[in-house]
Amino acid sequence: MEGLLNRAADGSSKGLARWYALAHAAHCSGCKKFLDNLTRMIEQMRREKQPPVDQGAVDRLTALVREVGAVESATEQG
Amino acid sequence: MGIYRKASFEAVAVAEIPVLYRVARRLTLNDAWAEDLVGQTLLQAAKAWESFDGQFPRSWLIRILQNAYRHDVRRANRRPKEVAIEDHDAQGEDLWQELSGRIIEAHIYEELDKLPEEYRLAVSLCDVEELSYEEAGEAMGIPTGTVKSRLFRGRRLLRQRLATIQLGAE
Repeated sequence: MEGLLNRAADGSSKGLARWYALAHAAHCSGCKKFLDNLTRMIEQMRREKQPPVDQGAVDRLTALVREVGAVESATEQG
Repeated sequence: MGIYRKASFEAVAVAEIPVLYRVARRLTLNDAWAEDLVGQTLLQAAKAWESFDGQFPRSWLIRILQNAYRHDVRRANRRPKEVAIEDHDAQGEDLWQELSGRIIEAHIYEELDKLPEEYRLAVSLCDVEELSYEEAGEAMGIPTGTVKSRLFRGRRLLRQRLATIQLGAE
């Protein structure tokens, strides 16, 4: 049951498997709490992605990608 | 064709930098090491881009990153400091406890970073970065079934840690 509830919580199950997990949770208070907790945890992680990405690091890494692209282009043309 | 593919690499790589950085940070638990790892990843990916089949570019980049991380760990014998965790499976007492949204919001990432690497990575890829099980399997180089078992177990450990914090706060 835990696997079915996990897949219902993250949205990866469809059709009968999803229906069964949700129908079971509707009548079983333990599984309902489990499903609610898991859904809340996953939603929180999807909503607020952490750690925040340091913009300085992104700029330096972007410059690196562009530099590599420029060198490759020059090598190809030369 | 060559020029088209190089332009594509730049577009793909630049767009994936935030995801790569977060995954690297979650693996290393260290900002400077994470940036260095993403740099290594991008250089290796640029070299390998011509032979890449174009499927799952995010997974492909994360796999390169993970290999670079393992190489770093072996070479320098450095590993992020992980907190030993106890698995409360046998007790099962807090498995069904209702968790408050406040506890989840305040502590989820702090507790995620304390999970052992294999679980931390599975939860990070599937729940934070929203990769499918298949994409996460490609990224970690493991079968989809193993992704699910690590992910479900990682979530269980995370929930147990949050429940323990909640019990302490009550």
